[in-house]
Parts: sequence; C-alpha cells; structure tokens
Amino acid sequence: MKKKDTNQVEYIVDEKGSLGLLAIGYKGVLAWKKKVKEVNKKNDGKEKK
Amino acid sequence: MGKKKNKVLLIGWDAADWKVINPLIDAGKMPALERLINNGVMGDITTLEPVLSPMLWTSIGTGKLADKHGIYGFTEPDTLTGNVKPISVTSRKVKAVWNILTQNGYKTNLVGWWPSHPAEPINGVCVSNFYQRASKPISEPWPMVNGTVHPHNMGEIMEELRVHPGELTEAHILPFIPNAAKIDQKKDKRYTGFMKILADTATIHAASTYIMDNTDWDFMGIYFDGIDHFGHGFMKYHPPQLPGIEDDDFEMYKDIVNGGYMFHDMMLDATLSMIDEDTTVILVSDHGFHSDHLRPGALPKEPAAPAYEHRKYGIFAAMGPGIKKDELVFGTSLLDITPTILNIMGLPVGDDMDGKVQSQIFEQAKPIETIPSWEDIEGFCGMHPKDLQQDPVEAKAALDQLVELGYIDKPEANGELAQKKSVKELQYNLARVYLSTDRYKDAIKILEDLIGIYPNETRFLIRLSQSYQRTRDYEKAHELIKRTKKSTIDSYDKMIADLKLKKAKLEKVEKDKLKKKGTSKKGVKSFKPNKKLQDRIDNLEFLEQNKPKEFPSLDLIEASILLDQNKPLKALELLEKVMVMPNLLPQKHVSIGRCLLLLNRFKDAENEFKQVLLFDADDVGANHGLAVSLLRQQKFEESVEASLNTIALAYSFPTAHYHLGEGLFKMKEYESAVHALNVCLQLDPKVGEARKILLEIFDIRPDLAQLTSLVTSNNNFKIDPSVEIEQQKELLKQNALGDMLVVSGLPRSGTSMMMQMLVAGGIEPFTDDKRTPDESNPKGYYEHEEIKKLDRDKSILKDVGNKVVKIISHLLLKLPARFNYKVVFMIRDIDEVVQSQHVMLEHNKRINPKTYVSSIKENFKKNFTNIDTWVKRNHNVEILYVNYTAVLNNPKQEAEKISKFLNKKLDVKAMTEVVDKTLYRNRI
Repeated sequence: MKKKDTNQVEYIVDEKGSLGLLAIGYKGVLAWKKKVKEVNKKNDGKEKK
Repeated sequence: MGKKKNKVLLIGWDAADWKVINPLIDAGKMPALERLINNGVMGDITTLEPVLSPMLWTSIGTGKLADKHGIYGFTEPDTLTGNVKPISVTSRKVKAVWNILTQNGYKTNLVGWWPSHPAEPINGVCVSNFYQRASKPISEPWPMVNGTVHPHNMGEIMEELRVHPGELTEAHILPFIPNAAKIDQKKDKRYTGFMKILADTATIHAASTYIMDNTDWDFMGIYFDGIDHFGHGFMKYHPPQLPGIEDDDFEMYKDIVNGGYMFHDMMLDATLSMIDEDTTVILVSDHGFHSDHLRPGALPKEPAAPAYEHRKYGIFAAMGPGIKKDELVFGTSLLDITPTILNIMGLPVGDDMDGKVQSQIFEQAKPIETIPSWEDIEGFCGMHPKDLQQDPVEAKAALDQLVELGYIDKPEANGELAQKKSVKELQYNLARVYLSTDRYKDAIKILEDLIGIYPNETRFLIRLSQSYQRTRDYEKAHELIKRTKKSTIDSYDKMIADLKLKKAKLEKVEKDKLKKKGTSKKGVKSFKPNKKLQDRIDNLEFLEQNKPKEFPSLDLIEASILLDQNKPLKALELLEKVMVMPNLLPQKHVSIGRCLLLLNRFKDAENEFKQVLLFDADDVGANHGLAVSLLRQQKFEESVEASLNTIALAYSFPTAHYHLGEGLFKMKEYESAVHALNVCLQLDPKVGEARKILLEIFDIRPDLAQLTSLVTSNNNFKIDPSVEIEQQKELLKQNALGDMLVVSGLPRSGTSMMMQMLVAGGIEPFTDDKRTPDESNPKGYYEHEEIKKLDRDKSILKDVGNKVVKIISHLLLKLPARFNYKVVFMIRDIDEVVQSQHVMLEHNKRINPKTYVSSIKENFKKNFTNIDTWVKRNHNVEILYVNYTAVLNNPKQEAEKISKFLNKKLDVKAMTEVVDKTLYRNRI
C-alpha cells in the first residue's frame, strides 16, 4: 500500500478539523487556504455553467 | 559527529495562569503542556510592578528592570507627528537576549514579541508585534506595514501565512462559542473581538512554525497575546457565574477562556513536535489572571485599568537536556529568564542584570560566569540605530488595538495634549517601578513633580503617600490621605455643580424652544448633550444623594500607616469600622491581623490570617502573618510551613526568611536555620535579629559558623539559595506533627513504677521487652533499646505514636522539637537515687562502687538544671513532676493528678493497685 504523504493538502484537511488546521501551524494554514481557493474556484465554475 | 548544540525555544503566553490550567490538565484537556511538565519542571513566576505587559515582556527579554530597559508603558510621544505612537522597540535602551545571541554568532529568531516593532536586524528572522493585526476588512487588501519582517525576503511568505478574522468559519468558532449562530454578529462587539484574537493567535503560530521548520536556529522566541486578550474580553463569563453577569451572556461566552487555553495547547503540541532533543523549551507568562472569586467587579476609571485583572503569579515551565523531570521549582522571577537562557547557551550573565540564573531547574547546575555588562561589549548585535524613526501612519493600527483592549484611552486629537498624557503615564509607571523596588526617594521626586502638575489625581496622591510611609515620613503620609479624601469630595462637588449648570442650560434651551414654537428659531441657542451626559443629568438627584462619605481604600492605607507607626489600637479601631468591597477584604483582614500581632493577641491574629487564606491562599501578607502568629504561640512546625509558603510566593522577602530561620532555630534544626537566616541577610543585611540568632546557633554548633562565612562572603543576590526550600520541605515531611507521652527521671527514680502505673491505667507502653525483669526491677523496665540511642538517631520516635515511652532524663535534652511532649518526670531524693543506682550496679558488677558516688551527685544536679531550662525554653513541652515517695504514700491522689495532667480518663484504681511499697528499699 502506498504510504500517505502527510504534506498533501487532502491528507491535512481530512485528518484535522478546521481549528486543528490552524493549530498545526503553517502547513495547516496553507493547506486550508489552498482548499478554500479550490472550493471557491469550483463554485465559480458551477455558477458560470 | 558534530558537537551537540544548546538550543532554546522560549514561548510566551501572556497572562497564562496555573489556576486555569491545572483543572484543564487534570481533565486531560491540555495534554501537550502536561507532557512538558511531566518531563520537566514547573512553578510560579512572580511578576513585576506595574503589571503592564510591554514592560514585563521587555524585562523577560533583557533580565532588567524597566528603569534600565526603558519600556515603561503602552504609548510614547512621536516627534514626527507631534502626537503619540505605540511603544516601539527603538525605545529599548539595552540589549535583549536575542541581541546578545546575535552578537555571539547564534542563529536567532523572534516572532511577535511585545514590543518588537520595527523588526530588529538580528542574525535570523524577526517578525514584529505589528505583524498579526488585520487593519482592513477582508474585502480590502491589508498589506503588512514596513518594518514588520526582517529579513525583507521573508516578507512575502509571512504575508501569505496571516489569518484574517474574516476568513474564519463557523467550524473555527463553534468549539469556543457553541451557540454563535444566535449572536447578532454585526452588533455584538464581543463576537468580532473574539474572531480577531483567534485569527491573530493563529497567525503568530503559522509564522513561528514556518520559521522553525525552514531556518537553522539556536534560539527561537515566540510571543502569544491570545490568553491575555481572551481573559480581558471573556474572563467575566468564565465559570462560576459572577453576580451581575446576565444568564444569556454567561451561557454564550462561558467556554471561551478554557477553549483559548486548549487551543494554545494544540499549538504547543505542534510546536513541540518540531524540536529535537538538544532543545530546551521554556514556557513562561508575564503574570496571571484572576479567574475565580478574586475577579475584580468594576475596574477603576484610570488608564491601563485592565491591569487590575492581572494576578501576581504567572506560569513557568521548562524541559530539555539537563533539566530535572517532574519537579516543582520556586522563586522564579521574570528577570531570571534571560540570565537562565544565557547560562544554558554557555554565555556569561551581565552583572548589571537584575535577575539570577534559575539553577533549581538543572539536574547539575553549570557554573555561572559573569561579565560586568553586555552593554559594554562592542560589535553588531542586531539592534536598530538610535535615530531610527517609525512611520506614524503605520503605527495607527497598533494604537487602535490598544484602545480596543482598554489599555489606553483614545488619543486626543490635540497632539500636544496626547503627548502630555502619554508622558504623564510613563512618568507614573516609572515611579511605580521605583516604589516596587524600594527606591522611594526616586519615586517621591517623580510623584511630587506629577502632583505639581495634576494636584487632584488620586492615584498619584496615594502612591506618594505610600512612598512617604516607606520613608517613615508619617506626617506627610497622613496629610496626603486627608488631602486625597478632600480632593475626592471637591471633585464630586464640582461635578454636581457642573451638571446643575448644564441641566439649567438644557432647561433654558427647552423653554426658549417652547417660547419660540411656531415662530422663527433664530436666537435659540442649541445644546444637545451626548448620551453619557444626558444620563448623568437625568440621575442628578441620585448622584447628589450618593455623595461619597466613606473612603474604605484610603482608610486601609491610613491603617497601614498607623501600624507602621506602632499604633495598633488606633489602626484596629479604624479597620473595624471600615466596610470594604470583597476585593479589599484580604487587605483589611491582613491589617487587622497585623494589629493583633502587635497587641500580642497571637491566637486571634492566627484566626484572622487563616480567614484570609480561606479567601485567597496566595495572599503573601496572610501567609507571613500566619507564620509569625504561630511562631509566637510556639507552634514552630506550623510556623515554618507557613513561612515556606510565604517564601514560595515571594522569595525576595527577607522578613519571611528571618521568621523561617527563627522557627527552625526553635526546632533545633540549626543547619537549615543558618541557611534561612543567611538568605535573609543576603536580601537585607540590616536584619540584626537574624545575626543575633546566628550567634546563638554558633554557641551551640560552632561547626556551622564556617558555613555562614562562606555564604555571607558572597553577598550576591544572584546566588540561588532557594534550593533549600526543597530540602526544608522534605525535612518537614519527615517531621510530621504529633503528641508524645514520656515518662522520665533519673535512673532508679521510679520511672519503671510510673510506667507500670500508666500501663495499668490503660496506656500501651512503647517497649521492645529486650530488658527483662531482674532483682532491681522485678516488674520489668518497660524500655526500648533504640530509645537509648536518641543522641545519634531519632528516627525511632516516629514509631512511638500514642504509646508511653520511657526516656531517661539525660536524653530528654536530645528530643527534637518536632513533637509536642507531655512529660511525667519522677523526682526522688537524690541521695536515695544514688544509693539505689549504687546497689544496682553492684548487683551487675559493672562498676567499682568506690569511684562512682563521688561525682555523680553533681552531675545529676546539673542535669536537673538543664531540664528546667529545656522546659522553659521549649513551649512544646509540658511537664508534671511526680514525687516518688508521694506515690508510695498516696498512690490514688498521685494517679488522679497524672490522669488530669494527661487529660485522659485513666483507670486510677488499677494504677493505685500496682504500686508496691515493698520495692521501696533503698531509702535514706
């Protein structure tokens, strides 16, 4: 089985709650911000459709 | 393999307090901190006066008092704008630990320290205290102000790592405020305040973890203000619910303080996961925060009033290579952090630093090297050039933050007035620094100048009165209290008169309006008071009726002056009629206790101090007062315990060490007494009583004199004798209090008979039955072999318990003072005793009778004199002299006497029956 990459955004976001993301520090903040951007982008795309 | 490095991670949690933390740790809700203290040391840290954070964090970072480091308050005049700006790092006059480390080639990072803007060019990364504030709404750009980050190339990533309050979602907020959905989020400032604190805290954590992970560092300093800000905003809603707090508000915000601590623990967990085993971690707060019944109700209307919510004791914890594990440490001051870090890093401590190396934390303390001053060492240290100016526009956001927190009033639009106010506060704070460090003349000079400009400012008058009191200028001290009362009344009268004028003006305007109704409004002067003024005008009648007549806090000060003047009756009279608010109750009752001490009413004083300690166990005055009242009642061990509690709370308190020394001396714990008295004399060489007791000890134990000369020759405040507290506490643990029943007397004076009587009366004997009955004592000796070794080993005494123990008179003097003794002492004609012993020794063939009798009588007489003195000196000893012949002649009467003395219901009949007159053989 492939070992999980603990630096992956998905891993960090899935493993911690939102507050937990802030608590793990910069990796959590960056991962969270990236995820928010992705979600916003997705939503924008849906609205355009 | 390279040489191991000594790395230090210093984490600051502003206002963190064990009183909140301990229950959370017990509930398993702060596991990271629990791990830290289990693998390291913990203890209180004593704050400095005045309890103002920028001043305190600079003392932590420099090891120096504020008059040396130059950061006295929240704002300072700004020469560029002619107005004021937040206090900046450029006002710091001395090197901080990160400057000293930079100068010595260490890689040094600093994040968020207060004050640290503009970021200093240290040998590493510096992110200033202006970094985390979101100055604009989320919809607008919020660039970092210039000078926030050093080096410049770190700016971009630091900017990206910031968390804006507007970015937080319900998932971030609900753990703190489960019913946040019910809040009117646009109107409730508390909600937006909470969001800001959480975002700011997360921002600092993101920056510090990034820097830790992406730079090579030897020192990392991180400062979080979240716990302090959560406290000022929400401690009033922390359980238990305070009177005056609405149920709805309590329910809504009661979880925030605990939630804030738990979030800090989550961050700590992440931070600790990023260090290696060479790193020493030091976690520290600058002061505590009242979280219980001692929370102040209303805050006084004066600048920096939120500081009244601060508690004197913050937290200190450390873990790392060479640091003790799972131990408590005592006597740590904010001033000790920098010297301790320098010692860990292998650098000398500056003689001009006011703190000491906290060597209690180390398994094996390193030698403490010193240099006269780091300020004299030339070379680049990462400080700003002296003439560096700060962009005033950029400083505004930080200024607004201070206003929001209530630390400063909104600065006057009139720059000159704003500067005047700022200078006034800085001067007042400096005077308080002097007052708290016994430099009364310096304090008086500043306060007299301030009163020259602001003659009615109550807080200045009070501090000046206290300064006069300390310099024994009692007349002036009393006069100022009178003046303060008068000034308060005058100000109140003036306020009422002003309100009346305004009310009359308002009424006139209304009347004129009515008159001109329907006609032109020309000529009607407009006057529209603001809401606050209108409320006061509406309540004018109430205000007039409630003119201040009583001045409880001033009366307390006056009583304290009277006490210092040795006028306890007058002080007591005043105190007994003073009605004070709950927060002043400890002060009132400690003063009453002090009066009772001066009046020799020691038991009453003890009760008074105990009452205060039920209210606040950390009250230094009450702990010390209790120690003295117990000492004067000859309750030495309890007194020593109270003295140790006092010292654990306030190490630099010479009188507490003196009373500890006196208590230990009375307990005959001479070595510990010498240590305590030495510390007293190091702190205050003028305590002559301490020297007197030391001399008495040296008469008894000349070997201890050498120990003293060694210590006193190093008359240096920085040595760390507080290790003794541990030893002394350990000693006390071994020496549990207890009562002991002893039968004593010269050998052959009837002690065995008395043992038989007491056993018959119902008391169990303490005996090993090794000495069997013989012709001299056909009914047995009731002895214990180990008791005979009392002069060498006293450990057997703890096994005696409720039994009666026989100890011959010579060994009575060897008894330690840790028990309360009831001694039944047998008296028999000395010639009969000698004769009886003579006969017994002949039986045993252990002595040549011819050489025996000649000196023995003198020896016995001397022994009686010594016992008499022992009884008089030691009030833990009660003695009943029982005449041997009287027992034989009238056993019932003597048995009753004994029963009464022992305060026990003994079987007098049985006691009487065991007396065997036939054994009265060696009579003269």
